[in-house]
Amino acid sequence: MTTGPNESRYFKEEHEIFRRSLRSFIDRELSPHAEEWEEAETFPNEVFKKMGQLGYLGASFPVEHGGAGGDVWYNVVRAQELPYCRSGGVVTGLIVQSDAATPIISKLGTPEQIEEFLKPALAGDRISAIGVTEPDAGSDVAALRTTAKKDGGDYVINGSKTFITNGTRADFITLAVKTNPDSKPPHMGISFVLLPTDTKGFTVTRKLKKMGLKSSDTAELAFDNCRIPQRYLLGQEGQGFFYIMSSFLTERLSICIGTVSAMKMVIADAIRYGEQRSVMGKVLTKYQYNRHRLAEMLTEAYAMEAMTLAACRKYAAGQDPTLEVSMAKLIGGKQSHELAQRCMQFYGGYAYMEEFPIARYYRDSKLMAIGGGAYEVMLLIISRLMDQLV
Amino acid sequence: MSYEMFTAEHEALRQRVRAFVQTEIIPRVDEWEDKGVPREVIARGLKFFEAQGAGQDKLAAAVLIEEISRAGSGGLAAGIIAHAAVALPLIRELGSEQQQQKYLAPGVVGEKLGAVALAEPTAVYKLSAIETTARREGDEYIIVGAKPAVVNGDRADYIIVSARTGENETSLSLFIVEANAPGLKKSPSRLAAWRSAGCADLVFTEVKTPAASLLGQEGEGLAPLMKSIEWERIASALSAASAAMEIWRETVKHTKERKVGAVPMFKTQEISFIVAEAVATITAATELAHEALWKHARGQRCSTEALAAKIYAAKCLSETVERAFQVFGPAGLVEGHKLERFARDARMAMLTSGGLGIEKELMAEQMGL
Repeated sequence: MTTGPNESRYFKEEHEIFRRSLRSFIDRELSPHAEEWEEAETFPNEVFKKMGQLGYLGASFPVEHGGAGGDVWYNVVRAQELPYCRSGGVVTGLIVQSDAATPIISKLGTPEQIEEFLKPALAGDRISAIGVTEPDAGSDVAALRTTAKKDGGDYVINGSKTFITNGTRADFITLAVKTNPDSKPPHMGISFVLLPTDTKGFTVTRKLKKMGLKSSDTAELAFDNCRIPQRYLLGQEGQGFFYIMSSFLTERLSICIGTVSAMKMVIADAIRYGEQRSVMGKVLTKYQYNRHRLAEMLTEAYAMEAMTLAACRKYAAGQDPTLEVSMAKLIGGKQSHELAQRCMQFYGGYAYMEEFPIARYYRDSKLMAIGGGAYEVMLLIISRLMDQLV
Repeated sequence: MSYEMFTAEHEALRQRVRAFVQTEIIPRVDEWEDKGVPREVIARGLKFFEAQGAGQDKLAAAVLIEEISRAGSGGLAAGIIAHAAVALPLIRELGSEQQQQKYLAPGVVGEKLGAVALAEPTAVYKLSAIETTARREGDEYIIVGAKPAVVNGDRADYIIVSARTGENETSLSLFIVEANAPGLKKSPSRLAAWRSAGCADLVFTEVKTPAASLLGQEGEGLAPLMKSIEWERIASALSAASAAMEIWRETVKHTKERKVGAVPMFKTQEISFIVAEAVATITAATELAHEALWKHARGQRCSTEALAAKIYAAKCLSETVERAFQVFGPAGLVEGHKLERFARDARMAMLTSGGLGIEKELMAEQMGL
């Protein structure tokens, strides 16, 4: 480990090199298009391709899976830098590709599944989605109703999914299904399968209109007698619940890391605006009230960062970080939107216009307390696990 | 691979200090709130510290601070921190050989107790505005000024005092003044919190102190002062987060012992969610304090982090008290109840090192605003 005045507790020089390269890509190729993609309510498939070609998607995956073989901290760096593309929807689409739909394939996939699904996904050639949520079942995954019935050498899948990121254009879906709808307890009847979207009977029923994260496509999907070979079962039948929890974990961790950067970015934006805007003969950042609010906001961002890094640390050490991730998600769920609200005060009327990114962040940040497990779900998880801290 | 910063030795130290706090401090802590902490208890507490290089190792100091703070007496913790974590490291860092012999060796075994009087009411935000002066006369310095509410002030054997020694704004010097020096008047200050901290208002009326009592170089006190206050902020963040965590543990225990009707309290959703929300904030406060500690221990710049850690932990401690009261109900306010003592001392975290308002102002300055 490098020592000296700039030594980091977590990152080494190689991570910083990766960071600089990724950041320059983001500044060059992504952030200039933020407005355009928000307006279009999608972003080009080519973004996945470029991210894959440059090795950004697979940085932490094993070399034999098409990755670069880096440690967990490369993932952390990616999640830290992505929000600087200034479009939360792009971040979400990319995080699903690298941190939600694919890590579980790397963990459990057969050599054929890795060749067919994981490698092209990390190369950015095949876009992935993770299909868990249904109209009547979100974090309550035991209540899933989409079924997969064995028929000869196949599974026949029927049901529907909703709020699926990358849903309108995914080439395959890491899909949670009930292989045993009568299982008691119900959560032991769930399995994960890999479903190519060119399977007959698959339809994108609706592209959903969202409050925020507009540049990401979010869809409602239907499965009508979709027939896939049984070799597309991921891991073991009946173990899907645990795989879903594992996918939630990597996804939530990346969301939390990204939220820290977004919080810092929004504060920096507010300062930049406040330094130029004069009110009654004095720039905004020289007013004591504003100075103290900015100090409070940075304090909250630092606390969120420290909590998130604690979760990363545990994850990197190979321990179960569920409690820490849930805590970070809880804190982020409250703080990120509150921060947006407070920062809006700086801009006055301009905050309410679409001329500055703050209005967009205000909408996007609300999702932190809802998506990937709501605030109340985090409270439930923490209350179940907190005894280990007594 | 582990990314934890405390080593196995630190954890072993933690266990020893914890046992000491359990057996020797907690049973008598309420009694000491009225009578003051016996010197020999402080001395015994310091034995752990001596073994770890007497404050040289900031991580060991952090362990000591965290564990002592679990006793739930902010005053007792403040007294030990002022001596062991602030006074002794200043002497170790800046002291002459003679000063080290005179104060350090007896200091680490608790035979000599120190106090630190750095800031002043009008000079917390700007240390360069310190009004206490020291002028050289022959082999002595003459100190004139006042320092309010100094922790350990009524019981310390010596006081590290900051004073102005020149015209220049930054000409500050530090002195080790003997507590029995003629002209030094100590009036115990009766605070509603930190009762066992031994706080006293100090007035220096032409106090003569030998030239050899100058700590460090004349006129070069500002830098070590700033560094020391940065560390004090980290120390109080560690202390506040640890006290909050102890309140949380007591609260959880209570929810398992008590029932609401026929249902154990911890099984009621509202209560379990209050407790869950509390522990997330406390963990974040602890982690933030540890990030600042990690940097400070390596000599890295961390004044912004130290300020943020202090602000967040102080607020977290008071919030934790409020949440605990919701669980304990009025029972928590009964005199002699553990929560009552914790609650009394909790607000001090928001008032030390200038208080939150000053700290936010300092942070804004650090942010370049």
